[in-house]
Amino acid sequence: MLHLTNIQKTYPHFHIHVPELHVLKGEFLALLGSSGSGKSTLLRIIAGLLTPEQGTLVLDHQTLTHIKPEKRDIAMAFQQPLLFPHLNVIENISFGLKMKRRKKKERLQQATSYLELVGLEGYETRMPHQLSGGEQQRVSLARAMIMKPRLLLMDEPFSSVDPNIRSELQELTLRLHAEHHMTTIFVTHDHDEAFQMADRIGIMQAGKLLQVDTAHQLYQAPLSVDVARFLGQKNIWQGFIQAGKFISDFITFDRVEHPTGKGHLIAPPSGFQLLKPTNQKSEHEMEGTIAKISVQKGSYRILVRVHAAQIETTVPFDPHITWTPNEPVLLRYQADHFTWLPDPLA
Amino acid sequence: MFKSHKSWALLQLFLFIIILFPFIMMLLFSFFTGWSWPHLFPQTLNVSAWSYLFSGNAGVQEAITNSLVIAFSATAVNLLLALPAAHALAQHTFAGKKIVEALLFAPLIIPPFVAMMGLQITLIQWNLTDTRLGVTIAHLVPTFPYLLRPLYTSFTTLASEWNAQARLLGASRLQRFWYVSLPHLMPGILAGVMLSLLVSFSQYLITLLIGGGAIKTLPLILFPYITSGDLRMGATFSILFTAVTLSILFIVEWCLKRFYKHRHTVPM
Amino acid sequence: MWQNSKPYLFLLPAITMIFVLFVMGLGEGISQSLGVYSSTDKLHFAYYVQLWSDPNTWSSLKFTFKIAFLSTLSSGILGLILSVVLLRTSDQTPLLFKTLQLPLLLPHFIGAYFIVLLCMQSGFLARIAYLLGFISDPSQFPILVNDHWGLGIILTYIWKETPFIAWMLYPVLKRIQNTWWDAARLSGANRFQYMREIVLPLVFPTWLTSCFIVFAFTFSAFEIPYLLGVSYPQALPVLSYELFTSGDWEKRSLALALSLSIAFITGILGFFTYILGKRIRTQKGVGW
Repeated sequence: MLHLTNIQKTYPHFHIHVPELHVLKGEFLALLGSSGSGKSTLLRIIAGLLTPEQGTLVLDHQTLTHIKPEKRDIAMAFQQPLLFPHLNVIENISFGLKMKRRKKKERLQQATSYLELVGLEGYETRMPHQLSGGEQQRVSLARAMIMKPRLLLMDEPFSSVDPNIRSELQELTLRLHAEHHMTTIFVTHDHDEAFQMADRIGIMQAGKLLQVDTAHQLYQAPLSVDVARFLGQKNIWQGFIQAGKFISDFITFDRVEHPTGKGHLIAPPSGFQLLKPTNQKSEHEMEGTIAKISVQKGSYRILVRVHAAQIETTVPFDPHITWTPNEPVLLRYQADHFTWLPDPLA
Repeated sequence: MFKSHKSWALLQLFLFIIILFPFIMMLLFSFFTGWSWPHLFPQTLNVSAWSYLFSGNAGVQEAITNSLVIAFSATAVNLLLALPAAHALAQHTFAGKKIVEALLFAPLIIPPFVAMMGLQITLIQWNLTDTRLGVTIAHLVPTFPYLLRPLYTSFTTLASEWNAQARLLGASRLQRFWYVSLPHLMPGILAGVMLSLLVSFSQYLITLLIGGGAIKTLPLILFPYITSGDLRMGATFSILFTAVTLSILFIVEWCLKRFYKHRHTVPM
Repeated sequence: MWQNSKPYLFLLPAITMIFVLFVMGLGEGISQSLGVYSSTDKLHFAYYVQLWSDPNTWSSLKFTFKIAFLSTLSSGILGLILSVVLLRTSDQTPLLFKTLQLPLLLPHFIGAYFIVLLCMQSGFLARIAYLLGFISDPSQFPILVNDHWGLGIILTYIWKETPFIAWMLYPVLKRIQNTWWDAARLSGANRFQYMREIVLPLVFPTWLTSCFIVFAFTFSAFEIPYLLGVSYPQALPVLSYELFTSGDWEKRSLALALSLSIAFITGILGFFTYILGKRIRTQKGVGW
């Protein structure tokens, strides 16, 4: 179990502040953020390559904050494979064991089995420059895992690899994680990668850890507007709720079951249904016009202009129904799909 | 490394002293006499060495002039030779490239004085010995590789894409050179020029062989003082030499940097 | 067609200069050493034979080799250590960093002056020795410069070449550090293991090449042995110079034969370094 408390570090252009982070044993945690969000910096602090100005790091009840990286029993796979160019594959993999002064026979044995684990049997005596990028990353992974570290850190290890190789490596990583249950922290800027691979995802932005939760919880119960925006929610409006009605400058919704107060309403596309106009208009329906239609995989993304707002909806392909821009439509909503984020009490 | 912060500080101090100590001694010696045994440092303030230096008898003016003229002329000529050469080597592949490279850098491996010994007869026939021009020509050889190398490196990092981009934006050949290539090459040119000047300032044997002792440069008037063990004059001339060398280097760097004040050079 | 001949055209001025001044110079030296101006009308190797049957030449060769070897070995090791120090101090004390560049700017003979100042029998070190009570008279201090052994020469070369090697190695060390230090640490290596397992093997090719450069230079350099040497044994370049300026035409041809022998030796060394560099690079992996 890894516990981070009040980690802070200041740089000329940004400031990292993580009040707390707990990583469970055997968990696969992704740190997701755009470049400059501080996720790699946080990882390096955990690794010991950087020292925080404040805060503590505790791993399995041992305080690591000021211990050197080589003594932390933590392994790391970097964005670049960083294989030692003068050593062959087996020597690279067994390097960590050599540093622990294990005997040569044992090193060779272990290294060979980990080589097989990453699917590179037969590559023992090859030199790094003879390997492709993906192969090098596999070796890098084996080099990290052979140490049987208490914590495995991965810093965007697949971002410099071809996309088709990337999914192979992702699968490999997940398989290894399932087999060995190594506690892993995986940094990435790729939403899909994070959501596919991780048990929980930590969202980082501008040096702050916004939320750490399962994918489901992040979508259903974002803790802040920033998280919602980060995850790609477009239907976010600031306003207030009064007597079950949400009122904003852009749009109003009825039957919103949340206590009175100011805040933000987040309405995922799943809460909307697009209908052709009929004569009747029921309570939870609004009139609008189609502003824009774009095609995604297997569905349409349709922006509907309602009142002063543009609402993003998703409509599955249907051979019987066509939609055209500027067409008047009826938008039915289900308020219980919406999330309400009240403003924090001052 | 294995040491604590304190021992690193001590080590740095030690190195600092080792490097600077000779200079301090040199200064002391040129300004003080009375280094009689067993005093650690010379005792009496005496600037007679310096007054001799500037008296006009020592041939200092002639020597400085010769050193400067020869160094700058040789460097200027070599710059004209090296710029196109570096361009060709960096941007093109062609048959015999390795041989050409070996040839142009050969003076780094095979001592130039060998060639000068052989060339002397010819230079005598061309009436170039015992002349400043002859010495300048002779200085071209040792200095050329030192000028070529940084230029070569600079040119290899000059991506032809920038040039292509500039062309598409309508820049003429001259404009491209001035605005795109030159700022990028400036650090390399600077480095090469300074090395070339340095090497020329420091030449002794070649100047002696071709100049015949008639063309006096700074090293030529300095050497006798070192061999004779005249520490005071040796110190004084060494300081002079160091001062001239360092000031020229600073001035060259300052001039070129100022010239490019408005433009930024690209770090290599 | 124009495109194809462009590089040759650009190279023509430089090649011409090198050819006329350097290659022709060597050529003329060769022909003179083969007796082109001698009384016989055929070229002959007599001068070379005479030169290399003289035991004096051989002792000069041994002497020169010894100086070059010891200077290279010492500055190679010290330079490596210094470059590691540079790596540490570059971010901590930039002033020291700049100061350590100073010997690079100054010619060898300034270094010779320093060594003389320091090491002669009435020099600074001798006076310290007196202060510490080791000696009571200058003549008791060992002869360190202008000595038969060549120590003064070696010390001067060490003064100048140690920073040179340090500065040649520094960029490589920095690159190694920036690239593999983190990966090594997170594989459990401490600084010492990192140095031994990663840095030294990776810096070795550059170190070797730099050492060869220093060796070739110290072997063929004239100035320092001239300043700090004695009349016997003389370094080969000094011997050549003495012969050349003796005024005797025969001796002059011998001088050229000797100079060309020196050039031949350094040429072989250069070639050998090049081959070695290539072999090491292909063995250890390319382009890191």
